[in-house]
Amino acid sequence: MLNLPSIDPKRLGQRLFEARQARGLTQQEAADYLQCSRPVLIAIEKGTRPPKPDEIVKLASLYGQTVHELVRPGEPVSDLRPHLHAAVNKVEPGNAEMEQAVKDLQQFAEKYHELETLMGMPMTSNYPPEVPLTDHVKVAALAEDIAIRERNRLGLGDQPVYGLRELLETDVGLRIMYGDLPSHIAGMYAYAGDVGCCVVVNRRHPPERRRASLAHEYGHVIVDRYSPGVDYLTYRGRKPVKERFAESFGMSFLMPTTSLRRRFNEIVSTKGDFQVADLCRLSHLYFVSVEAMVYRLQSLQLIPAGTLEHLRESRFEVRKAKGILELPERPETNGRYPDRYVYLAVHAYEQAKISEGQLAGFLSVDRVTAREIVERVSQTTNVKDDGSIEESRLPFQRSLLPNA
Amino acid sequence: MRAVVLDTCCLINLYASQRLPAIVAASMEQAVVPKPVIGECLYIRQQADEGPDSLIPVHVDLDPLIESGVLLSTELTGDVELDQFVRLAALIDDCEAACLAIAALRGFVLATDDKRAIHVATDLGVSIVTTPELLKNWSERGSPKQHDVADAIACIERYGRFRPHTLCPYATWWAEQKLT
Repeated sequence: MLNLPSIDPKRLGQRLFEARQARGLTQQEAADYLQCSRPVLIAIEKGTRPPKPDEIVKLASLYGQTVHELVRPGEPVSDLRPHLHAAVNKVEPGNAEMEQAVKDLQQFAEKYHELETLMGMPMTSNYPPEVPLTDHVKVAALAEDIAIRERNRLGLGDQPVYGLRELLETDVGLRIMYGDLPSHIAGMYAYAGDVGCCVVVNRRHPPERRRASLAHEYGHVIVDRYSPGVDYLTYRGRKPVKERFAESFGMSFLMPTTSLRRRFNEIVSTKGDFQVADLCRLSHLYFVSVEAMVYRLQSLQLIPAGTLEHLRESRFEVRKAKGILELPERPETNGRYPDRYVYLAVHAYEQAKISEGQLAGFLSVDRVTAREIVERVSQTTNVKDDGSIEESRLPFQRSLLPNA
Repeated sequence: MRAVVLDTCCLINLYASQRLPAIVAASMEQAVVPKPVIGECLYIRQQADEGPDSLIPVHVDLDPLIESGVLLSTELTGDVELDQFVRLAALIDDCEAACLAIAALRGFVLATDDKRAIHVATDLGVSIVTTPELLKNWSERGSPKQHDVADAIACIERYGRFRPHTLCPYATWWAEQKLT
């Protein structure tokens, strides 16, 4: 016979407190809804008065949460929201979309942590050393040096990097989600001791832009790890030194000087020229936007300043140019959640550690889509001896070690 | 079979089979669906106009089935059911917890294909029935034509994206029906 878990009133109280705050309700409003006094609600949130089952159900409905979200086992993780809210309110007061993005990032961090605990697979972090910035430092030169150092540390050499999201997730230990942000926002980041660095990148942006935003956020991890922040596509006025570092670092990391200069020189010495088509091919090779490549080549003084304005005046269209040059779209994972997160959720489901409903909740999809994801993750395609294609399900739990 | 509470995953499968009323009529006294399950936004797949390989999501509309009495909608009632529901919700999601609390306390059978829910239900002493078992019951008691059974299974696989696990006792029967 199953012993149903008893619910820890302190943990439940903390979750109820956070859920009420996230909903923007006062203690009095919640108490009125429950038809109890404010002191009773305060006692519930402090964990000194365990709520009755019907009160938990009512509060879950008031706060727009499931009962499972409130009573699930596991310690609540650090709340990233207060600091992020402060950062958001400074620059985007009252922006509902940003408020939602903050909630999404918090939920992502919590769910990720819950899956890791459930599966006994904590994230291994391999963060770069922090670099202090002073007002007198030459930001671009420092960013270039740090980018080279980071590439060496991660064993990347000076070649283009394609699976950037996967690299920063698996080799560095960042938690990266693609979220819905207002179109003028590139990304957001926050840090807490138990969940580490959490990043959200605007998934509405094209892949090249998302990569630039990701590399930019990585720059913040190096110089500004503990201060949550919001990053814009463009800034008015002079950028703070940390922003300038993050921007220069991102560009240097994605387009290392040595290989870029070598390729540029090869083109010029072979053709005797460097044309718009070469610019498009180079930006495709490094998987960055044409605009970013122009800025980088300008900063390396390989092409003259004002090139971008010249291209804009001549109504240059990147998509059309890519089509003419037959440059294929590069495959890039654009799922809301990182692969590791999805694998953890699917494995937890396969091992009956979570139910189908929980799986759908972890993946933020409907049930049938969750089934399709399980199918995709747990199946492999083989070519048989006769050349026919066979799809088979991988026995995930079979050990591959001798005598295990 | 006595009254059966349909868990969300099983409900999706039966709905995707396009033969839910016949399967229910052949297999159980009454099909019960808790309110949280009805409230969950459910989708299955449907053939798109673009071609045979193209599927699009379509909303599961349970209203006609409830209005015609094929499904009986029910709510959690009383402190004991609510208490059981809240404790179960610590282990599984709200819909599964509601189904299990109702099945456990009202003596109903739980229809589910979910491994986690089956573990919890077994520990609670709740009788379980799965989608393949319900289809087998229907094929034996409802006397459908053989191609009808095969088509129901094909629809569940295609539109509900469900296939029984190889360890399921009815997995062989399921696979055989597709070949006939």
